[in-house]
Amino acid sequence: MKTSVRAGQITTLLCENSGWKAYVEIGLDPALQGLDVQKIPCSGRVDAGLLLALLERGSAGVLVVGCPKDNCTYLQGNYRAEKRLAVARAALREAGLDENLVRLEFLSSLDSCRLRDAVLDFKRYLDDHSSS
Amino acid sequence: MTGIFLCTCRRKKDPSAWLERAAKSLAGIPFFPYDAMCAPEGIRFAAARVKGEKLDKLLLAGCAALLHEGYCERISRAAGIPASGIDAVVLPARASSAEAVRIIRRAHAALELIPRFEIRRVPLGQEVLVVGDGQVGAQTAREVAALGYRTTLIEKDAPAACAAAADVEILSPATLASLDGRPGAYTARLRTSREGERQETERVFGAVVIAAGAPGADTRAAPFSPGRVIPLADLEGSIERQPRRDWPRLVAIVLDFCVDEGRASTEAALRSALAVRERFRREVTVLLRDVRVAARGLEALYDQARVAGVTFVKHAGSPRIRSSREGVVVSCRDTVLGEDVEISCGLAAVSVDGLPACADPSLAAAAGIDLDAYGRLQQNNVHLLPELSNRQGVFVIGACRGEAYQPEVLRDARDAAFSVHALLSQKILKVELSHALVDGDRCAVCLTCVRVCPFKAMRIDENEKKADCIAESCRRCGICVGECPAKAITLPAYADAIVMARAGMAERPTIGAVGER
Repeated sequence: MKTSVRAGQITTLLCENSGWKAYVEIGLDPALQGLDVQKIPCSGRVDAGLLLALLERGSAGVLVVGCPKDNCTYLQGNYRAEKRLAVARAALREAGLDENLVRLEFLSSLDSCRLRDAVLDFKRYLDDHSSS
Repeated sequence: MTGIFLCTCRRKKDPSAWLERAAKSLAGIPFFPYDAMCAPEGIRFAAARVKGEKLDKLLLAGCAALLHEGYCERISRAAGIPASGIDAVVLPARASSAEAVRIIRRAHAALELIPRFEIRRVPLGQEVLVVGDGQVGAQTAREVAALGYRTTLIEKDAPAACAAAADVEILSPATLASLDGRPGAYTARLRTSREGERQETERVFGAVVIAAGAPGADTRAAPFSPGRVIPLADLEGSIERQPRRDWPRLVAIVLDFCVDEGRASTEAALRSALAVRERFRREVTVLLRDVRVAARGLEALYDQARVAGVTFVKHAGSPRIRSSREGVVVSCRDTVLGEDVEISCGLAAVSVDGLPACADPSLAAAAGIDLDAYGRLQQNNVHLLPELSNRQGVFVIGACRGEAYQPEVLRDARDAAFSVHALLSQKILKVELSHALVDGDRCAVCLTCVRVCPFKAMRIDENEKKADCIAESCRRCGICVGECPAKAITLPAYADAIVMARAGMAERPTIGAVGER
């Protein structure tokens, strides 16, 4: 039986230069209410260990949001994040889990609607793929 | 002690019972509800309570306005609490008191884990090094010296082409061998040669401006062939010397041969094309990826060329140039027609700036500056334009960065001088010691952090035999934290434990040791 994922079970790690600013603009949107939102200095901060630890401790899924490519405030962070996400995905795959439980999005501080869509899309995916 | 400030501006209809329940659940933590926390009165309210109750951290909870840019910074200034000790959370509009308390408790727990950071005051050296080539280097040195800094100009080729101002020390010929240290005190190893004898000296500079040129491409190698495929600069010479009867029927000018070029090349191409067209009445075709006219007078020059009958072809990728005794054939993909075209001409002029290898890689390596995809100094990132580099206190301008348009370069020279002034005129740099910390027991000295740090903030501490972060250079991005294979590096304000606490997962069990940091 499929169960619906509550917004609070999704962890979003937002780069404070892009995703966080986008979230601040649209934080009152009903779709984002109760979402676990975390500010990180740069998407390059995430590592596979952190992502897996969050999943292990009960996150339904982790969404990482970074700046668009070649537009990272810290020059390389989003490229690094992409590699780290690949490591986390490989680890999930190896463990026989769904590798799409972690997701990376690149958007700018003005892309509030894209952030909302990304969260909703991720929630929809988790709803469809979560087992009871 | 952490104080919790609750903005109740959206809770006017709430019964006071809601607040009472919340205050009761948060017993023991200083708790201050206020109905205008998100307004300027709120900032004064918080500042007064911080002094009265001797609070050292603040948690703001309530409406979404608390998150707005600059609000926490204003409270930080008014209350005299560092920004890292202030956090804000939004409570859903219809949250029950129990739900609100849960959210507040999580954020409070996370905030408690953030240490208090000391502030280090480091002096900023008032000497500036300019690594220059020719006019741009001299101009930059003059601009910097005019702002009152002791300036040293080094040039690769002897003797210095332009006399800089009298108060500029000129070392020539001299090259930069390495650049270590921190903003405000960079140690530069300068390699000079005097009477054939090579010498190395170490000097300390507060800031460095790189205003070097680009080494020209080899004009004897492909695609050049004498008399048929020539550099664009030589075409200008031919216009002055070559009589009309020697000019072929069609002349092609190729820009963006491999690398995207700037306005300087566009201007040179337009002037040459116009001269050939108007003086010798020959057909001229200019092949380029984009006509770059974003400078004074260039758009008018382009219009003039079009009116005079110069043909423009926008190409994609790299054109192919074949020259034989019969003439030159330039073939490329025309992006407007969407077809491959071939242009047979008697003479082709190729701009040297469009060929690869535009910057001096040894200079980039010595100065610790990244290269972009075309091999020019400084990454192609909008946050760095026009003069910043990946190292704080090191500025890059000029042709080595791919900007050769003279009016623009001279303006960049002034920008760089002002940036130097903005940094060094503080005299003392206040640095919050919230930089990445390396655990010596875990560090395997694998050099990963030294390699991945975009800001050259990581180095190896030879005495302690571990990696070490330079607080003044560190930008607190956490890339090294994510990359360290031994998990030896922590960013104290964004440690894993803080992320876990904020997600309300700190107390949940876990199998492995991940997330311990």
